[in-house]
Amino acid sequence: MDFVDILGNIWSGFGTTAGVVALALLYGIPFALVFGTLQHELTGWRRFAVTSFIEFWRSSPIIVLLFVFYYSLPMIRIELSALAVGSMVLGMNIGGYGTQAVRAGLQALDRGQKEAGISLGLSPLQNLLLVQMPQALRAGIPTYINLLIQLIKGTVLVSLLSLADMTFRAKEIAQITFTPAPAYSALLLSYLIICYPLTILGRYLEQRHGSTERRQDV
Amino acid sequence: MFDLQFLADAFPVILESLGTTLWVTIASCALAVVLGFMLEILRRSSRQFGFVFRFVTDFIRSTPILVQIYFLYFVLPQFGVTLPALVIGVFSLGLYYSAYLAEVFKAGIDAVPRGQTEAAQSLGLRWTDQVVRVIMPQMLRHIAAPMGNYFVSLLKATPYLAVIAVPEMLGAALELGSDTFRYAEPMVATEIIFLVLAIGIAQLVRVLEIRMMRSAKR
Amino acid sequence: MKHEQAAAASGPAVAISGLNKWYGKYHALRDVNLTVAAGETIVICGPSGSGKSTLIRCINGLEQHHQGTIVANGLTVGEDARTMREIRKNTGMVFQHFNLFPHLTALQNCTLALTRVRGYGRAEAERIAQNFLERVRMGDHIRKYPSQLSGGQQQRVAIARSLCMKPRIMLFDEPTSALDPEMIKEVLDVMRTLAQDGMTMICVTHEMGFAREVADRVVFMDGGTIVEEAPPAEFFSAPRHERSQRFLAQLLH
Repeated sequence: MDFVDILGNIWSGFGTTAGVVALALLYGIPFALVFGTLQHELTGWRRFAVTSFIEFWRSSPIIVLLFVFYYSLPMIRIELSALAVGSMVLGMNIGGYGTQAVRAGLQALDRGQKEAGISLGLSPLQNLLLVQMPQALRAGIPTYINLLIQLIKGTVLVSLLSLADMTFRAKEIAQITFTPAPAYSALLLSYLIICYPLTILGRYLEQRHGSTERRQDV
Repeated sequence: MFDLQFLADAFPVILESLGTTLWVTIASCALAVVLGFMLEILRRSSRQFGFVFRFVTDFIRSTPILVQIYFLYFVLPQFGVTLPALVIGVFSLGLYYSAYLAEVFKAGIDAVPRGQTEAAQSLGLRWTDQVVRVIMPQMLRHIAAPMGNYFVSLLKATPYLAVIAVPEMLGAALELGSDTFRYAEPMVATEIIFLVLAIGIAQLVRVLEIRMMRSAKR
Repeated sequence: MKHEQAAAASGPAVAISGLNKWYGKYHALRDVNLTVAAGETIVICGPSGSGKSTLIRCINGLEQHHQGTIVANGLTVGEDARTMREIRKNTGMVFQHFNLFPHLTALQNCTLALTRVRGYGRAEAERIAQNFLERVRMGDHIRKYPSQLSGGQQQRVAIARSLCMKPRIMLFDEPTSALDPEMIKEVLDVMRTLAQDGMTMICVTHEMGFAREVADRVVFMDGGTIVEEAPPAEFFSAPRHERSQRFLAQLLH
């Protein structure tokens, strides 16, 4: 199998990789937006509860979390496909990091913005949606790009659940052909092709706008 | 059904590997610090080839760590380099995080005002003294917290080494699972252990950060 | 060291000839020639952007010149790292923003170079440092950190830090520009005493009162060149060039 064939075979797994990413974002984005805002706005025991929930998803090693849900859910009669479990775990994990970015964005926002909105007669919810969020989110774009990169890299784990993503394919090829070098080189190259442009983009945007928080990613 | 007794019994078995997990984390961290620092210093001081080092860090950060582990584990032997899994594990973790720490060092060095280097130079201090006695002590305040956070990230990345049969905690849990055909309980036990460790150490880092802010001399 | 003896015996403290420097296309220093004798106090003044800071920063190598030569105490600037360190050992620099090391006490700021560059033992270094700190009237504050000192106090510590190295030349880059008015006097007093004690000093400053009283020569720069050089009496009462006249008129407003 020559290198080009190997690449082609690996990329047949791209659909799965992309699918996991898309599905994960469906979990992660709402999680980040809602809980990030809640963590910013709430106080007292409610805030503690929100923080605990976020920390659970954020502080766990993803690979362990994946196995936990993969093996435990069937025990409580929830039968989910590997794709569903993988996406959910990855999504919630990234969402956990996302909450911190959303919160930082809201915190960094000039207080005057909130006050201006209220003075105009906006309801708190309208104020949040129309005035604060757009600005907080725009400021955090470099961070979100980094989280996206993190997510894409994280999809590798679903190969451990035998999902036929790019990594799974590469492993197959490596095992079948007994030549790991081309297979894994091709795999590295494949992820590089996807993530490197994003890395450059993230850095470019960060230089242009400055980041509101120190980047803390995996 | 979930067996609480088995869960309780699983802890001691898994905790036997805690030592390995911890010292792998520490060794990788030390390696990451050294490599990361070198990467940043080299990037800074080389006008012609600075971009090469930048590309190296970008490359490492744009590819999943699991793939890097596979690559090093399976491909190196093809070139006659056979190292024990533990060594490869520590090296891959150290290499991966060195790319992130390089960025931390960059921010830390940039945070020290240029005038400090100029004053040190004007006094006739040689380069090593400038760095060790003037720049580094001032950098510490800026890099302590991010480094603490990456230490936690490293800890959470050690389970990846289970795929190359390093005897750390996830590996122990998987072994227990395959022996008993019950994976859920060992996984939950591992999850709990990591959560406690990760959140505990993160809290410590935060306390350290507050201490440093308080004793900030300037 | 051989170098030091040779330098002490021979002529000027600083000899600059044909100095040119560019920042990209911008010609920052144009054919600058300046000679400073040992023990002289020179004040360099001029509008911002005239190159005065750049000039003195070239003397101790903080900026690199492209053409021309600078000889400080017999050693040529820019030859190699070793020579530069030797030059810097014997040249003190005081910065506009003090640049004290914030993680070290006043005493430690002074002893750092004494131990690491001149090789003194710790006790001896502390003795020397304490002596100079007392001379700038900071003897009661030697164990304080820069953050605990006022601007004027910090600058005096910075001067002491340079003096501890027993330099032959002291360079001052707008030493009082970042100070509140009340504190300018205390720093100028120290500088005045230094000049009277015979130190070779090159000061970039806007403090014309200081220039008038203490300088042996005033050097006026504009657009990267030296426009006029004269003893203060001459310069302030009868400036010869139109640009100097304009500058003085603005300043003495």
